[in-house]
Amino acid sequence: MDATISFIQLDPFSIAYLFVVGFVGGMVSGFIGSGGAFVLTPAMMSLGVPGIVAVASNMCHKFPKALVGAIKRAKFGHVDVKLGLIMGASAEVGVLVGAHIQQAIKLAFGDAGSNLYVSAAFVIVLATVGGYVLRDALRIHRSGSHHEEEKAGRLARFVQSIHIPGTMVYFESIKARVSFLVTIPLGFATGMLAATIAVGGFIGVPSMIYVLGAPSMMASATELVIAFLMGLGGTVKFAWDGYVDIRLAMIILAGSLFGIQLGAIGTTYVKPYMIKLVMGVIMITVLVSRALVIPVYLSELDLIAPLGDVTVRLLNNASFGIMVLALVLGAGIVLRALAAGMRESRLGHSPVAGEGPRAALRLLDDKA
Amino acid sequence: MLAFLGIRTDGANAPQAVPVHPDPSRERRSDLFARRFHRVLVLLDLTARGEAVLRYATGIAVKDRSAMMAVHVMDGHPLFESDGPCGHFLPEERLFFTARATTRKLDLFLARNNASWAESTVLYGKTNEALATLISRWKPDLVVVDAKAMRHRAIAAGLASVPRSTRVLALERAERSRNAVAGVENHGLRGGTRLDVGVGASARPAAQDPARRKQVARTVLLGIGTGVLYWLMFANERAVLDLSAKGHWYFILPLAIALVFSFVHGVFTAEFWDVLGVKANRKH
Repeated sequence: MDATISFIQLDPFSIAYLFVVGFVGGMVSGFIGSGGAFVLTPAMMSLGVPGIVAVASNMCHKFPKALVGAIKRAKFGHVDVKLGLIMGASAEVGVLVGAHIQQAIKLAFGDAGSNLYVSAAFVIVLATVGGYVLRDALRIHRSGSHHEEEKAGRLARFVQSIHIPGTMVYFESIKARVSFLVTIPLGFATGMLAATIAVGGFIGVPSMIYVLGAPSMMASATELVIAFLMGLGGTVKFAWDGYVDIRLAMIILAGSLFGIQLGAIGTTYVKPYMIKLVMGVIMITVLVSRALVIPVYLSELDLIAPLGDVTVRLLNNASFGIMVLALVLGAGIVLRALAAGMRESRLGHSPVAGEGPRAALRLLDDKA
Repeated sequence: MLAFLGIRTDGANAPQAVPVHPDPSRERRSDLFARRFHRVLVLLDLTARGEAVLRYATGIAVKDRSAMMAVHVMDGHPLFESDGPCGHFLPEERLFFTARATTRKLDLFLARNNASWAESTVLYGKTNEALATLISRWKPDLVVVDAKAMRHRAIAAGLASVPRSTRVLALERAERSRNAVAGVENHGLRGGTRLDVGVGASARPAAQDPARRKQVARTVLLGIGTGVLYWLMFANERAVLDLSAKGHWYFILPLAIALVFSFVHGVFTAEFWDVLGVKANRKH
């Protein structure tokens, strides 16, 4: 591969741009376990980086970022390493299969077919999982039971009741013995999605929460272990073919490591339902973004009437804009939650009443 | 009824620690300090004496790796009940705002003394009841207090309710002199870690604090290290790109760069936010 053709020249603007996008993406990843990376590939491509180099460089920044995030969250006691490694192994297989499917579609239907497949996967997965996660987060928010320990749902209780001799493994996050065979399809689907839309966590985290019954705090942290394994495997694969632009990866890493630390710290200040809320909001916003460009690909494949150039440009720009908005929205919620949590912790921590000075005053009044 | 057991330490100006226990005859000096405390409650005001008491308690808490709560008892109390506005605030509201501001001050006070990891509480309103409630709920096994504060109505009332298993340690006044260092001698009794609890020393600004200075220096060094790594990569940009574009076993190069950068830069970013005061919530 000729380096002068494949790798772009970097100027201060593009370095700053990638640093900022990396920072915001890292913050979201540190908070919900993944989700910051999906905007990086289009961001790099908008600078003129070839698609495959953008994907490879994104992957190369992802695994060290996930490693740092996982170590940080492990210090807070959020990571279930065993679950992460087991799901990560099946996710690797999912990545390979997903990449092959991508290649097959690209060969059969060209770029437009491949893009349509990716966008359709985005819309279907995000609508199903995102809708469910957001509804659950809003239900908890409305019920007002923010402080309650998360309980395993009906599906999770059923999964935990399945007993397959010789395959049962005790997972610390779930606090129960679960057959590792159950985790294989979940990990596989995570890998498949990662190979398709670059964010496996959109399946990985909800599946750990709702299918296995892990608390959202631990699921989002354990996802970082899976992301590390997938990223490492993907990086080796792309680097073997010489597609990694290490400069791009390291600039994004520079920003995202600042972000991922902040996101991970943020999780210690919020109630668990906030993780679901941020994840749900991001997923639904990204869904809108991808749904907007589906007509473009459909028209390129001649499945609908051709669209005008202006319409295509408008839809593409709107799609990218909404994707950036999703990330900024997520980062905004994380920062706000962090600032509010820190303020509350600094000012209001009153063990007398447990809720802050105002509550302490109330308690004293009650006693009086 | 509280009884006092005085411990004399060397030197005329040296401070004295006065452990207080309902039954002092059973309490031996060495027993007191041989014990490991899990929850240390320190009652303090926001003065230099408060700092000395805090340093003393911090020394014990750090050594024993125990949880610590710093409590400041506010004197102010609305003198009358009001059902209408008086100036801008009702007296209770004014008290609430004062308490909030004091909480901020207490947190700054803790941060200045490298004890920001400790929990902090400001008691106001009916403080004697509040302190008794706090002690019964938080269940400290050691209470550190300035001896003078023992005469405070609320504190005396609150301490009267401590359970038998809780030790109360009242520190006598330490004079402001270089040699008069609160609590140092008592730490000597505990097997010898000489802890810095000096009144003069504790008034140093945070920037001059050795632990803090060390952390800032470490962060700066890591930042420089990260900068050097990036400079090296961009200085050899062409060579790095050419080698990684070759693929095959050269895949080691981008992988190694990513791992080294993530290690150095990862530690740097963690320290960076820590130095800026953005820390994880340990109370969570």
